[in-house]
Amino acid sequence: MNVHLPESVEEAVALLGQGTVIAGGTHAFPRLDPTESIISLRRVAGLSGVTQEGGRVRVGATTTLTTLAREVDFLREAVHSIASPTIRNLATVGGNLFVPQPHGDLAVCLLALDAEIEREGDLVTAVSFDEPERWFYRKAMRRRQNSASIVTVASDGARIALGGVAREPVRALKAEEALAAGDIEAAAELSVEAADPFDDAYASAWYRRRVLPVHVRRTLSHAV
Amino acid sequence: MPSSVIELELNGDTVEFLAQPGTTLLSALRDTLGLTAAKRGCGVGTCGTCTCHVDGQAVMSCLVPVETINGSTVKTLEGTTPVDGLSPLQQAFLDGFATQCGFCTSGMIMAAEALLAENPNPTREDVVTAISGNVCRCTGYESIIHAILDAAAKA
Repeated sequence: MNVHLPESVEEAVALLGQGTVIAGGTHAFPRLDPTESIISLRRVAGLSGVTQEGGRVRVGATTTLTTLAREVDFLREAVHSIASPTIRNLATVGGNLFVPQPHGDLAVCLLALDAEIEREGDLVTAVSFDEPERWFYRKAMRRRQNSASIVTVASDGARIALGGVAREPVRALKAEEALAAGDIEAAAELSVEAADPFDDAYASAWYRRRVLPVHVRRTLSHAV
Repeated sequence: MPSSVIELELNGDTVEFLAQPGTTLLSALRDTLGLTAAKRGCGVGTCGTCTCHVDGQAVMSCLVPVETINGSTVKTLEGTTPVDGLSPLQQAFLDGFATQCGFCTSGMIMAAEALLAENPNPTREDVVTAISGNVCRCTGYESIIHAILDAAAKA
């Protein structure tokens, strides 16, 4: 195996295809075959950091979840629902986009925020989004901390994004229509139409589908 | 690919060693440098027994390819132990019977060290969060939480 340590975005992009890209390494690294090469983004200059200007938030791809929670108030609760401090010190915002559900609760938030992804070639370099006027978030899990999602719901009061109930974060478009009409009950019931849940060690597909409307209703009833 | 020379500021000393590509910080500590306080529990970042500090932050050393932190400052449990006696957290764990089999202890103490460095007067909730990535398979969490709160109160 090779460990590539590019120091610039250009170098990193030129290396794509020669190994698995890792940043924090919390998800991909321990799952790699020992012979597989890695391209670490840890030493790439200028890929981390948060800037906020005029309500627009821009987050570099290798910004850690710890830094994001410190810098962006409205996302703190959501970030703190992900893993543990020792993982959040390593795990990155860009990496969160690529982990399969029931992990990747931040990606669910970014979907609800209609975040834009900046790329150089196939390398994600940053995400940016407008700070919402209202914010709703809820994650149902087996324990109060450090557990994967059974159901995750994120909303800015218009868009509704779901995690835990499909292999990727999904928008609940029918539920959004009901929410736009002011009917939270109907939005909760219709959210099931966006779900394609799976069984895993945390919950069965049946259970996820059954409790989804409950969590959507509770989420939309109380702003963070 | 050949091994590379890694330099770390480890527990206050500069160390240089060879690491094969993909060697984790945990493996370098245990197998190359002979520091065995950090334990290999799961190897995939879910148990916390390998917790060390890299540049002042508590991380799971089994998830860090050591080449990626060349030049960094690393602290392990050995580095928190004074020449004579025990550190305040170690003493609190001993006094509070907060070790059973002991396998999780070094990771628990390193997670607690990071907490107390940032927040010298933590609430119980802060402590629970700080060790939420650390598994005690003897399930001795209550005495561990008490020991960390005790060490904070005595500081």
